[in-house]
Amino acid sequence: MLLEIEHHLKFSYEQFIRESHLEVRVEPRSQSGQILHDFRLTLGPNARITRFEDWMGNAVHWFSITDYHNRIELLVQSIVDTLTDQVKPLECMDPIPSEPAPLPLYDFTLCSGPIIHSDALLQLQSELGLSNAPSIGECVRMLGDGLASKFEYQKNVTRFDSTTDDFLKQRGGVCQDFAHLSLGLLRTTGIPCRYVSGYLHVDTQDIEPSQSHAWIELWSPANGWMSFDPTHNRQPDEQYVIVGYGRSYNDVPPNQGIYSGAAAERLDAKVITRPATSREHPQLDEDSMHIDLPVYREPPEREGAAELTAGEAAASQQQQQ
Amino acid sequence: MDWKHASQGFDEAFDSKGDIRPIYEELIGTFRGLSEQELVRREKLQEMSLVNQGITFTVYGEEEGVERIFPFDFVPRIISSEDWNLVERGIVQRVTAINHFLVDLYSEQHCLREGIVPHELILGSDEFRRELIGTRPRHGIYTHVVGTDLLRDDHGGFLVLEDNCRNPSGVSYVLENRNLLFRVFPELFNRYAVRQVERYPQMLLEALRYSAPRGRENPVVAVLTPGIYNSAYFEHSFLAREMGVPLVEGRDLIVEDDQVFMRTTRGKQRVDVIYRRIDDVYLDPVVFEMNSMLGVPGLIHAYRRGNVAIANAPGAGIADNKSIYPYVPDLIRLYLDEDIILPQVHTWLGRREDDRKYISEHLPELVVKLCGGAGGYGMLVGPTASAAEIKAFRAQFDARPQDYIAQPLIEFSHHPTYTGGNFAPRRVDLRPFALFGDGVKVLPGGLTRVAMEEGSYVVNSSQGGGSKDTWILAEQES
Amino acid sequence: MIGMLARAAENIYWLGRYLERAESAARMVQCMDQLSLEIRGLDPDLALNIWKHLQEMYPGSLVPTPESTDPDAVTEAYIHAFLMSFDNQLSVAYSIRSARENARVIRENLTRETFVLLNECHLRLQGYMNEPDMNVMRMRSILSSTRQEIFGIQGAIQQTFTRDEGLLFLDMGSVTERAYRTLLLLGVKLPFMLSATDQVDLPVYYARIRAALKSVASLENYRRNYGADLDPMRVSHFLLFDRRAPHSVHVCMRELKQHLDELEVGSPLTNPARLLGKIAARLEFEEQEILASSELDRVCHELAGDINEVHDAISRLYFTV
Repeated sequence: MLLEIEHHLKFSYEQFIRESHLEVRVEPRSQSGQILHDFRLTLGPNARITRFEDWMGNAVHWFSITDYHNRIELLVQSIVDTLTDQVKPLECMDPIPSEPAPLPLYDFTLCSGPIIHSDALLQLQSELGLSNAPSIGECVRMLGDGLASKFEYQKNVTRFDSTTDDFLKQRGGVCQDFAHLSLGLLRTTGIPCRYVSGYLHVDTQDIEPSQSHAWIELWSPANGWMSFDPTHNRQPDEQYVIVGYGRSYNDVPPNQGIYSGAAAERLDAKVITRPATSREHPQLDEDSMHIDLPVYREPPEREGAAELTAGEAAASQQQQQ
Repeated sequence: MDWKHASQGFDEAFDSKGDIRPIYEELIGTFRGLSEQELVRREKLQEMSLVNQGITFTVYGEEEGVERIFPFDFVPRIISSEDWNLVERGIVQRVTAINHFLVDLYSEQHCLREGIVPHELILGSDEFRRELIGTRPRHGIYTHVVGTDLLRDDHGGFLVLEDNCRNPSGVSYVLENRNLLFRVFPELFNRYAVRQVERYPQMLLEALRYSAPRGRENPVVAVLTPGIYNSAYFEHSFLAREMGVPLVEGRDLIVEDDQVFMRTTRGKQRVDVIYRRIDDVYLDPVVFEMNSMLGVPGLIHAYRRGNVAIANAPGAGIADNKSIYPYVPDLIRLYLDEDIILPQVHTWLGRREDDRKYISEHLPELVVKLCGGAGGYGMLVGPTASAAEIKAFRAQFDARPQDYIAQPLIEFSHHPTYTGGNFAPRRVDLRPFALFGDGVKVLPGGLTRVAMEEGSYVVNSSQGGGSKDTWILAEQES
Repeated sequence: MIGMLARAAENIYWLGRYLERAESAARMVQCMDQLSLEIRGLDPDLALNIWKHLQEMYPGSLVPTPESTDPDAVTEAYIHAFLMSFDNQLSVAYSIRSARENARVIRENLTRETFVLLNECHLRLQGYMNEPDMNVMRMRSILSSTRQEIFGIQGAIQQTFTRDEGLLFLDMGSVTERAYRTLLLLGVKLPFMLSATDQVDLPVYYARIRAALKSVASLENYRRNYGADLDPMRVSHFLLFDRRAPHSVHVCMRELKQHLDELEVGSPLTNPARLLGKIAARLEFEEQEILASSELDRVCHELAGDINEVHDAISRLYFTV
């Protein structure tokens, strides 16, 4: 399926901040089953963008703004061709591995970051009876059905940094929480598995908008990596666009960075997807290459800034540390 | 004034019959020529000198950090040129192999694929930096500065206790101790040809410049410190001053277009080499997910692109994890095809089932250490611990045995030490410093740390240990 | 040219300011003490009240209210507050401690001699805090010895420092502080000095003029120029405009300008240089008007404010990059 994706990220700050440093992981991967035909990243204020691939082969774009600013906007545009994987995880007959994972898979067998190897996790793992599953396929089915019956999809109960323990307590959360919990359950069962971050195209966008999404892949000795979406308890199809792989969300956050300045940050993110008609974006003229947002060498004066009081003036006679 | 010698174990100044070893005869003779009053006067002079020069370290856990002096014992330790030659060769071999190991870990991973080192050990460690797989530092050097901790066993043979590959500290005391002893006891040097340690700052600067990115003439070097409240701040400042380079904090640096600059009175000035004295995770808040402006945002990106050198290289810390130590002889064989020159201490790994059982059953006999620990924290010295301490430690060990290693207690050597008007035996270790630039060079000297309590095995400065000047004798011309 | 690290420059500038501040506070306290003793018999009330002037000259200083009106107790309270109290941010001990903190931060820029002398001075002052039987006589001797130690430190700096930016910033710090302190002193003392001579008790009057000169270390310089005749207008002129007196505002501003010029050889006019030029022009061309002004004290306070602006401009230009 040829898809066109637009991902808008708008950061705004209550006051001017001095520096921003941002990393984004938003470029869909090009690999078997998915081809990235065109990709464009437009940024304002203007800054030099560096691209590199991390240890998992995910594309990272990175930039710094070192003059005063109070807004940052990113427009990410991709055109991707996707295929539905023919391998069906639920039909996988491989038994659950009994040997420790070999070197390349080892990273995907450990609970780390937000995936916490806790009593609560182990308890759910045994409640679902995952270790007794005769095959990986059966194990995935038990996992998917189990989560669907015990957990609710709910927005705004968990945060981007919530852990599996938080989710186990809340019993409600979003795709990232479903993915993390599934990874924890499969890893404690002995099945290597990884976090996938990407986009989900929705046909009926008037009912439910398209969005950034997260699901998992698990390893079968016979089939290799197989994908599964625990949030919807189904196998991903050609409406799923893969951006990055990691041990957990922490390895592939869509954006991560830091800014200096005492001001609160607000992020508005929006994803628009539609079937594409062309493999390339129309050519842009020079002016549209950047989003026009201002920066300042010195912090712009705020209106009505108060004069120093006598006490403050006296205090300025000491070095400010 | 009495000179007591060790009743058991190896005494570096006296043989087993209690006779002075030849190398110490002149030294002890000189001390015997001084009156008790004179010694007291000199000791006072020495202490004043340390306080007034602010040669101090900061103790953690107290408000604003309290500055303390590192106790200095004026009886120098003497090492013969023959002994030193062995130590030097052993350290060069070790540092070379460890560096090969790091190059391999962050590229092909032969050592893991061939099962020389279990991959669980590396991938399960917090110090392995996946972010830097595929990034090769200039000349493939990861460990520009290494401090190797040595002991002498009860026959006087040198043993390697551990490697310090991230931010080994103490070299400023090597230089300051020599300075101090020259001033307070100049007459001690009359009859000995002691090798010089003063060239260290120059050697360090050369090694750092050697690591600079390609094509930088007269590279700009800076020392990166966490700031004046860090316990080793004196050393950071000392090394910057002695090398004649700026001492910077994270906030003094800024990354633009993947180049690193320092903020100067003339605007931004490019920096080519950073000798960092802060941990990996404080280097770059963007890459290492710290929620603060500590560190330099973008530094790792600049490093990855080869625009700045960082010494020691980020990720080098994995090599001195205590669970890697038992594999060093195998690494030496793998990378250098040599047998290990300096022996090491037998080590049981808590992560191996058999070893775990052995450790658990023999806690009172063993020294047990946290793999990622340093400075004597998280450590049990079984033979000197109380039953309650062993019980408490057992609980920690049983909870996470994989985090611990254990070794037999080494009855390491004693050295005469001035204490309360007498010269009495106290245990000492040795930390020589190796620099990896155009080849590996070992400073002919080292930090001798001394346990100030009778019978104690703990030499760490954070736990009340002191230090001595360490003399490496020049080879006699024949 | 490689610039100096901005943070180091800032610390070395403040090292200069704090050393000068410590020495001038010690000097002012000595002069007040001597004046108070001199006039005790002549005007007992004034001998007590005169101490309050010290607080006016050091806005922001903190002195606990003396328990009694016994002149000895009042004297002791003030000397203690300005010599060795760490609660008073303008005391000698506090300034030396601040200077020593600066020195620790930039130790690699200092010579060993300088650091050791400063460190010794700080350790001694800190040691006095715990000294039993501290009394006025002891504090008087500490005042003298501390001043000598500070001269020793300043001497070591001039003798051993590399002639580079570091020394320029240090000297800029000390002349800025010196000019500022002279102006604050004049602002407090002038109203009295310029009041009609026939209404005041002459011995007391002259004692006060002498004390004013001494407290900016200028009595001897004045006598060398004008003899023993203490004419108030001449004294004011001397402290503001004299071209040879080391503590006159004119000389301080001239030296500050020289340092700034040396720092900026061949470059266009910087902001601090421009602001400084304005002060210099005023001192140069409005000499008669200023002296004739009926509010000479207000003019002094204005000039002190102008010097603060120069300080801010230096900070912005060199210390915040």
